[in-house]
Amino acid sequence: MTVDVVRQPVIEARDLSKWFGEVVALNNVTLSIAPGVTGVLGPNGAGKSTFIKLALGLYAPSRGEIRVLGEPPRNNRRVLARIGWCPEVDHFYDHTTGFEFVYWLCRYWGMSPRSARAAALEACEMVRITDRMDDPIDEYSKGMRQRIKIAQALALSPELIFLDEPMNGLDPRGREEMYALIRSLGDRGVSVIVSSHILYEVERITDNVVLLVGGTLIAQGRVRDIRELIDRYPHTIRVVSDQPAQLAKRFAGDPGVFAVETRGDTVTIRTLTPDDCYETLNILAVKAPGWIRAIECADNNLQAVFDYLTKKTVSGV
Amino acid sequence: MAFVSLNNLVVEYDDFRALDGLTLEVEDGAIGLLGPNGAGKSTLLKTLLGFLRPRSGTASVMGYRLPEQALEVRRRMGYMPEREVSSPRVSAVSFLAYCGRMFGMTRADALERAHEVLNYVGLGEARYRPMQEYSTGMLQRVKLAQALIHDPKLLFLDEPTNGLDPDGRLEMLALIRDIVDRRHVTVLLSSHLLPDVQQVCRYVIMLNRGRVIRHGPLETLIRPLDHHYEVGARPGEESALETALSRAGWLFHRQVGNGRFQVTLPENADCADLFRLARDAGIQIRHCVPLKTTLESVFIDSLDEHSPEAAHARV
Amino acid sequence: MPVYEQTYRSFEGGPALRWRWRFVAAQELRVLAVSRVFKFLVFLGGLHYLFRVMQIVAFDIVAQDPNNPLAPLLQRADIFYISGQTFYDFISYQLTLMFVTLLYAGSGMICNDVRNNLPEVYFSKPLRWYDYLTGKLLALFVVGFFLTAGMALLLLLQHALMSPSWEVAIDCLRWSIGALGYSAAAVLPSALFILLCSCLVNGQNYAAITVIMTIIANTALAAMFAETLRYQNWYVFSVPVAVGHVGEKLFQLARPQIALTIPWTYSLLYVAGFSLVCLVFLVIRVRKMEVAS
Repeated sequence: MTVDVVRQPVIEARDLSKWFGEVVALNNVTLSIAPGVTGVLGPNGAGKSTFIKLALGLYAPSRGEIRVLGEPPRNNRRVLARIGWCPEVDHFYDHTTGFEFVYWLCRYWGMSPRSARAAALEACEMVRITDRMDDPIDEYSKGMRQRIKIAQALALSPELIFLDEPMNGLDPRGREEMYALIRSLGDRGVSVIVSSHILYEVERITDNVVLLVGGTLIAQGRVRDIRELIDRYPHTIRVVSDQPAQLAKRFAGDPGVFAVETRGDTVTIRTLTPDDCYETLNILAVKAPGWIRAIECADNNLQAVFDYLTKKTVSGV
Repeated sequence: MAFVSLNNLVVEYDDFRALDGLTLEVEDGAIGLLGPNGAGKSTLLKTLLGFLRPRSGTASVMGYRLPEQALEVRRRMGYMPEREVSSPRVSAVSFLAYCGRMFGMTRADALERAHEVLNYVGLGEARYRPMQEYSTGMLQRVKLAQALIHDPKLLFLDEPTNGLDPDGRLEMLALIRDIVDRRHVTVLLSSHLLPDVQQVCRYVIMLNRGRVIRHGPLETLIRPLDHHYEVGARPGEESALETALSRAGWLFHRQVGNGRFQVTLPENADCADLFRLARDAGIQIRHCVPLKTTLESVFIDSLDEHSPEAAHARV
Repeated sequence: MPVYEQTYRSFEGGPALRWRWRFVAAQELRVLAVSRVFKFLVFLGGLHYLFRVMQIVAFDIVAQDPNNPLAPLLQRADIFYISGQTFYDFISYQLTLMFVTLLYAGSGMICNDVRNNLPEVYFSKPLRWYDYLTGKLLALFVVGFFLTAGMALLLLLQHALMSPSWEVAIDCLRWSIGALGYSAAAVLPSALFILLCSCLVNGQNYAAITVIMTIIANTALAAMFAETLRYQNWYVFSVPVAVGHVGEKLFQLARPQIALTIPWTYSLLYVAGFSLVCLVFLVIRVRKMEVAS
């Protein structure tokens, strides 16, 4: 895994714990998030929102420490001025217009009227709400309210942005625009932390994920790398073939393969030695064209990785 | 018999034409209802429930005409709203029994059915606690339960996976498929999450500005693109693959997020050539899938085709 | 992935439904009955009722009984004397409690539903706006009448049965009509106005505050007119005063407190008019709710 060790991690947590009475929301979490776009995932109640609120300085750690952009964020105006946050909840002053909302937040954070105006205009531009920015927020659809929330997060040109369910309520075109926006932010050097339940969307935005379950860190890194490390689950390889029966027979005898299933033109191979299997498939593809029409690893995606990891915790295996 | 039949339906809302000559027929099964915000989906639903009188055109559900026979329609139709629904001081059982009573069930009957439908959606002991203590996932299940308690033959689900965590989403989608397959209920699923729609529905209707812009079975809309593949290599060999593909002139697009590439093969080449190229470069291909149009691309293309700018351009 | 083998049974539809509003009313009452605050308020009303029961027993049985040592004492004590004034007083004192209870029960009835997006759920079922409105109003009427007319009628029955003479029984019959009329004049506008505020204001506490402020403002305005224009009859502009006026006349009190010279029918019309206006606005809003859901 290549990590640019020269650049400081944007978030660093060491032995971080947070509890509320008896409920332990985060339990001894140590992690470090590199600059770039990162997804923070986990089931409901896993501590994701607690972690984000700790990073925003809204809570103080019960134990351990957390540093954002190098400093602890609690009551730290220097750091907070460099961070933006788009929360999941939907609360606005309903009678203000979208533009006014962003503008006054900028002023509230200390910008002069002229620079606040410019910043608000630019933020509205970036989320493509300029044509409706002078309408009151209570006339907005859910998608537009979402965009205004993101505009407010972007208005201060932060170095680090937290986006909590940013695609909520957006229609497919809006979602595409949001993916592009997040990726462009990443390209421009802004670090983005996205928290979402919709895993295939997180996959489209970024490779790097942090997975929290039950208040503990379960996995961190690139999805593929995490998958490689979960060796207790055999790889499931799906092959579409013109000769499914032949292909199945070819693999049935293999020592590492412990299950071969055929359904229609798809052969599903479950193996503990994926490398050998793929090697064989690659050779076959060249030697017997038509035998291999498509190869797919059925569980090399975020949803499958997530399933394996969360179920492992739940069953205590 | 068409479950829902609309003919040239025009519905206006404070001088705004929300539905502009909508014509469609819905047969049974799972149908995805797509459209950008403001396309008229909620207006369509309100008309089907009998709240709005059409300005012109006809609408009928399961043979009952709207809005005259709206009560009959509501008796046979279930609706799962998008927004969060809760009855804080009552338990789920009490709430569902109340809903059941509105359909004419006796109190005992309503209670029994409430329990059955709560079992079906997977709400356990929590059903006896007041709803203010419920999590989002539990409230979603109760929402689905109240839509099902009277055994409707037509179900309208508006963003059913809203707010659910990944496991909850999969369970909800599985539940919806079960409702379609085993209970033979016609489901109209409205969602912005197109991969979900793709997973659950077999037929899709796209609306924009109060009209149907595209509709059809999923197989006809989602077609494989010839000579386009998505390829991925063994971890560590991605850059080597990228170089090899670029050199061959086949590289089309580098995907973010999973280290795979979209390639376009020339007319005479096929999959085997791809593998040969990789083999020669000492790369192991671990992913090779023919690309298909996604519902998202079909959707966005349809929107663009039917946009006013395009209409202008055509004129 | 869990596969649900247990499924729900089919339903062919119940009998054609009439009077769906009774489900709405029953559910509201059921929810109220669980609330501790509500139970406490009803308990207070019950205490007052019990006190009156004892008063009637004291007057009718004990005071008439020559063998009882307490009899002469009770016969002379004024507070135990039962007349039309007694029942009027009973209802008058209950009115405040009744109003507070209605406020507690009713200020959240509609706005809490709207907050929780329940109209979408209810109106997607075969329930019309009039079922919804009637049900909610009925629940409030039941609570209101129980605390006032209901208890008063029980006391009247008790008095009629316990007292020895027939004239008293006839009087009780007359007073029953007075009790019903007085209660109606109090309960109807209260319930309608509270429900209307619940519909217009989007928060239970704010709705309750709105109701209270309106009543204060209404009475203050009436007092202002009456005092500056030096015309006592302006007090009828205050709805509570108008209701009291109606009550006094219905009970034909010998010493009425409310010094208005206008006929009580005018007060009654005023109260009725106010109730009607509230009803009209309620109907408009609830119909709009059905469509907007």
